[in-house]
Amino acid sequence: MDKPNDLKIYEVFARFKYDEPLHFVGTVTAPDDDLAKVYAFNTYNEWAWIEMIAVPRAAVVHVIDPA
Amino acid sequence: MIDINDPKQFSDQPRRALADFLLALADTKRWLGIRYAEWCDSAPALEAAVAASAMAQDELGHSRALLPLLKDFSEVDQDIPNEVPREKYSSIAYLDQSFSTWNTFVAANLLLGGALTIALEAARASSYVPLRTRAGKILEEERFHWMHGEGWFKRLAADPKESIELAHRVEEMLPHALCWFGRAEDDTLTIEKILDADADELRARFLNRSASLIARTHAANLVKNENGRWQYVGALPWSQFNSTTRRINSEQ
Repeated sequence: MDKPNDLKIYEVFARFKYDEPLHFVGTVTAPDDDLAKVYAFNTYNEWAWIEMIAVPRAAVVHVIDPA
Repeated sequence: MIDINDPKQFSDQPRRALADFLLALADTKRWLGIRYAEWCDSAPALEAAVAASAMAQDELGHSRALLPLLKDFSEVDQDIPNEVPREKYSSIAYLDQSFSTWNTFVAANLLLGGALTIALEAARASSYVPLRTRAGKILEEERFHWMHGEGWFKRLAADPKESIELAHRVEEMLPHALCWFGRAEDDTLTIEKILDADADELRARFLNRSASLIARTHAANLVKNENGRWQYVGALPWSQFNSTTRRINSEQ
């Protein structure tokens, strides 16, 4: 079974109209990208999204770090 | 191909075979949904619990989308599509009991859910239009069920401790999944183009999708790959198989 260190946090973004940008909807914790997709889809499936992406938090480049 | 909307357009034998198939599909999805639901607050991670909940809703929804089709079959007891509680269901017998462990959930997700998906994929171009239209919608949702099962199966198979129990669950479940497609000689649904492949071909498709994952576990001896085609090693319990309910009944 997964150990806490095996898990990654993913930031989830989605949009439900073509003329709007992706916006942050929440996070999921998953051991890999494939399960992150499943978890994000199931967790944030309350809208008829046209696009949803999940970004590993570790891949985010901070421009301004919180203090 | 002729599109058929009313099952009365089929002759007696294919109409009965279609009714049996629809009931076995709907009942197995019903019980799969109920077993998934029992893990909504017990899965090993919050996200996995949410996935279990969503998959339970999906399976119960699929069952309730399929059952009303049986209203058009005069030979079917109308209590069934009207969802009157029954004593007997045409569901895979393994689902008669709750899943005792998360390994059981994952194996059922991959093998039992996976078997139903293979059958529905064979109905994507069905001559029976009500099944064809439902199959398309159901398969959209099943894509995520497979991803969930595959992802968890790989992780459990890679864990030396979990892999042993996972293999036991595979050994128990795999005959149920393989028999569910039916006997090779029962090819009525294929002849009528209700499904695009017979039982042997559906079993082969199922093994080609799942056997490489099974081969990662201690149950690898159950499958073998010959000339790029996966096969089940061993004899299936056909003497206990009921071709109407598609159940393996140990009491028979």
